[in-house]
Amino acid sequence: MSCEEFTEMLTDYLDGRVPYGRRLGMLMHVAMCSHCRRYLRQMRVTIDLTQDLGAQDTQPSRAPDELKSEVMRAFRERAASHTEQGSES
Amino acid sequence: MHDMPSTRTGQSEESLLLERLRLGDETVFAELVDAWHGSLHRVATSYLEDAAAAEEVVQETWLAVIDGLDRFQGRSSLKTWVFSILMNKARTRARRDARMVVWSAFDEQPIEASADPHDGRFKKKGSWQHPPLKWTITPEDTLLRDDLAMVIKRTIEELPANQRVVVTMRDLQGLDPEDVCQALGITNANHRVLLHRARAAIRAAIERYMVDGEEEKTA
Repeated sequence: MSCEEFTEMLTDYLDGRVPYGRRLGMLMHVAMCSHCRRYLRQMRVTIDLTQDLGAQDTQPSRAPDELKSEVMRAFRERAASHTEQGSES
Repeated sequence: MHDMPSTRTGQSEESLLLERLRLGDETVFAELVDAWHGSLHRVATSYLEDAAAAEEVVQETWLAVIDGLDRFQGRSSLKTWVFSILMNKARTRARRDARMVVWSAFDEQPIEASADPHDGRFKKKGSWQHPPLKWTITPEDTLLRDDLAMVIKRTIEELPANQRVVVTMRDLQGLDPEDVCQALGITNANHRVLLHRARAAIRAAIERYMVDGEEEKTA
């Protein structure tokens, strides 16, 4: 396996989607190649930092009042029309 | 605090949730709207590059969800279905606003087989021509991590739209690969290429920041 092939498969590897044989090949490659070992480690750090950013970003995730009242009104209307249909049948 | 219902809720849990929604349980619906708002808004913004338009698209999405509740057959998870509607609404909005560059990003631009965007990074036989430079970040480096958060944010904003949406859904919002593929209507191979390119660009931006930092320290 070449370093280029290793990097091409890295995303699937990190998602646990590389079949056993290929995964073994990747593990053997990374054991021998310090550059790919570094690349793998840095990609993991990159993903961690991006995920941290996502976690910070979505902390206050409540929907704005205007949006919420509009969709809640539509939800109530749907429920009311279902109740009417139910009582008619 | 509204916990976000898990993407892969158990089937019975999801059936129960759907049943409550179909029966018109306002509390359950209100909680869902709150819990998923951040994710939906972030993904719509990453596609449209306009927070106000994204909010309208999120509202349109919920209205479509209400309208389609009885027709939803549960072939995908509820969350995947909601995100699929969101992306359809976002595409319609992009077309309407003539954001053709964004609109075409998923649907027209061919995605090359190679996942790594760095031409010339490898030699002909596939070994490193320009190997990754040495840098490390420890969990204790809180100031550095704050700086890097800004670097990452800026890099994501500057990515091509298709990469930006995929990395937003996967790494910022923590969605599963299946949900992302279904919601965007792309194959796993395309998803993998787009995600890898986005992550590789972020890694490269971190590297540039770390190396410049090193130069400043030694200057």
